[in-house]
Amino acid sequence: MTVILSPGEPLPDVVMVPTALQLFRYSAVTWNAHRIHYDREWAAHEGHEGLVVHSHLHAANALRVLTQGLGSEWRICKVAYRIIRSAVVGDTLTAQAELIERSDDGRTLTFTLREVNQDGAACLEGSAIVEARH
Amino acid sequence: MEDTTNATDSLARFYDDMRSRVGQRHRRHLGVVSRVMILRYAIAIGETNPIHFDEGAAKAAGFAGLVAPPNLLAGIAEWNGGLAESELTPDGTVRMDGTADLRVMGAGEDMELLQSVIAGADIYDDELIESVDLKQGRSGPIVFVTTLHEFSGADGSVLNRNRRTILARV
Repeated sequence: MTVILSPGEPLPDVVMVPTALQLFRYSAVTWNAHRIHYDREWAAHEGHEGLVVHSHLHAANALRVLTQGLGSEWRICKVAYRIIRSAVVGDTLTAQAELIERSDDGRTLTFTLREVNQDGAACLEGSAIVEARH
Repeated sequence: MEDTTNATDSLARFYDDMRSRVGQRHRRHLGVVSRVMILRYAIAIGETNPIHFDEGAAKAAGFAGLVAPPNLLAGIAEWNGGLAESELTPDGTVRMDGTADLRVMGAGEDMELLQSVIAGADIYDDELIESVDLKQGRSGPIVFVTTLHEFSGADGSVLNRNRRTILARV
């Protein structure tokens, strides 16, 4: 349960390069028929540069920084995020989490969340609170 | 999207319709979170933690069964069969009549994850449209709709309490 992190320090980044196959499978498992995610012509018709990454897939990518960086001994309790910029297939989406606060007993951690594209522009910004499970 | 006059009318219709629904609460039975749903969701998002793939690993980690990734409940767009293709709008979404030419996207979410979601959980959703706001964006008007979803189990205990915001624009 010990986290060797001090406020200001990050967890390891998680990098996702979404593919058409990934977006199709995410659409399928969530039964999301919105064509911007799997129909390139329709996405272009709506002014997008490619197949659009689902907002919840952005969030899942950001949350993987916590679940993979902290492990199962910690539970995500609260998350707040905003989609700042859409992303498309082929973008390189780097999710980052930085510890900003640790409770006195060390059992509650607060992180900033951020996901940036290959140009360093933010796609998602937010925060999360995690607690020790035991 | 070329006919912006019609689309602007659609946005006004969408705004008025959603405003009329503010404060209305709907309870829906969504169904059971299955093992396969968890496996597929975890694979689709690139998860590797065995608590999402291996019931034994999940139990060894102290969970009652296979664990859903944190935003699975939030991410499922349709829990049941959904509408026939002929009833969907041309962009593939479910929308009120007369607003098919709008562009709609997720804008963000606030989630309280009160309990882990375990395979076999039977889920109910209490939905409440909390606010509808019209704002001026860089490329024109945008309508923001914020909806509270309280996902609870069959015993009534709340698993997730999520506030989701979507945006609609011309």
